Amino acid sequence: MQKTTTVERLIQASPEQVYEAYWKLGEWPLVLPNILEARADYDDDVHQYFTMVADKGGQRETVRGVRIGTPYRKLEMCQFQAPPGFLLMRGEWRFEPVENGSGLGTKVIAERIFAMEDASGEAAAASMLSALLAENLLAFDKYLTGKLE
Amino acid sequence: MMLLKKLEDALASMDIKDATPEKILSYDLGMDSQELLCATLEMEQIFEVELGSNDLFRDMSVLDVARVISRKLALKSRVGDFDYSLCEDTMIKVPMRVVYDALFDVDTWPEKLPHVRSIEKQYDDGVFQEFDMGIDGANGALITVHSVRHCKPDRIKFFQPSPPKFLRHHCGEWILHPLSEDLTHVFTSHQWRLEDGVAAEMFPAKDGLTTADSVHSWLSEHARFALTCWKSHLEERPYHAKDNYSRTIDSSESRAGL
Repeated sequence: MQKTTTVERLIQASPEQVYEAYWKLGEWPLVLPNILEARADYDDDVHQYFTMVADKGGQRETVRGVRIGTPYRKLEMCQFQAPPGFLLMRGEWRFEPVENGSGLGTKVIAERIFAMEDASGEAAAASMLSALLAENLLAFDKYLTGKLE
Repeated sequence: MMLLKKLEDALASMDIKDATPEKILSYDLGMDSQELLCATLEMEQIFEVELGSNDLFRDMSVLDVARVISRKLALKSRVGDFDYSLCEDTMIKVPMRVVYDALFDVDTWPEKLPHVRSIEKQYDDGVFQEFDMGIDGANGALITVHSVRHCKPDRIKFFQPSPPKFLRHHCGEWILHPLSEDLTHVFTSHQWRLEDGVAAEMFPAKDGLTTADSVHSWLSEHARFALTCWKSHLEERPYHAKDNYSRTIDSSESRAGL
């Protein structure tokens, strides 16, 4: 059965800046220390076919997938090779402009739709994914805030 | 609301009654130039499209007008800044869901499309698909096209991670607009950037046509061919209104008791 996990965070940067940071895969190893390599094998500014290598507890995990961008509003992704234990992993980031006292910010909503090989692990997987998405958002927040300071 | 119904309602609000699809704006509905101008402005607001002075004419039918508006809507929603693009369209007399199911169900394409020899699907989760398609090339050669698609009920986006050698990037969309319950406006759009050197070798400029013109013409021809194939296949094939197209049991299966 498919499950959905959603996490959101307000980042003090414009939707254009946040979207670009997420889109440029070459920057991912700079943002997230566990990403060892990230490259777009095809990139036409709207569609990407990518390969990413992550360090998962000392093990190299290779992720292959695609991303489709709707510039500055949405970035949809799918991992054609789901992580170990998963049957499905796809989702999106949505970028919503937010006006606040500090200027223009962006509410980033990260959503993942997943399915497990073993349904009994769904609740644990949802918690783990939520934590990972929150870490990911925090890392991009720090990266972008640092760049803009 | 279906586009034709919305258009009929818009015309009715201007006191133009019974604007059924086959009616001609001038002869059947009695619209003069001033009324056409007013209707154009009204439609721009209702459908949120821009209509130029060369878009609508008094000798058009209501269906022609719906087709113009539908095309404007399709072109408006395109994403990306590519060097070249094309958009071909046709109307198919089946419900939108039937068109979508046929386009989505790549496994059955070799049975439906004369130029498709094989499909090898690598991934399909109901939204994202990745597959290799074997198609007939020149002199009987088999050409393999690697495609990735993102499928939603009214729109299938696609791109080729390994495009043909003469293209640097190639992507596009199938866009489906329901004009009425049983009539679907189907668009296929392509967007691309050329790999200049290879394109010039494969499509040399001649007879006043540039390399870019020739590539455009070649891709347009393929797009029109695909639309013609689908129109022909879908309009000839019976469907059951309450069934999902892909699950329709044909008569041979029924006879075999499956």
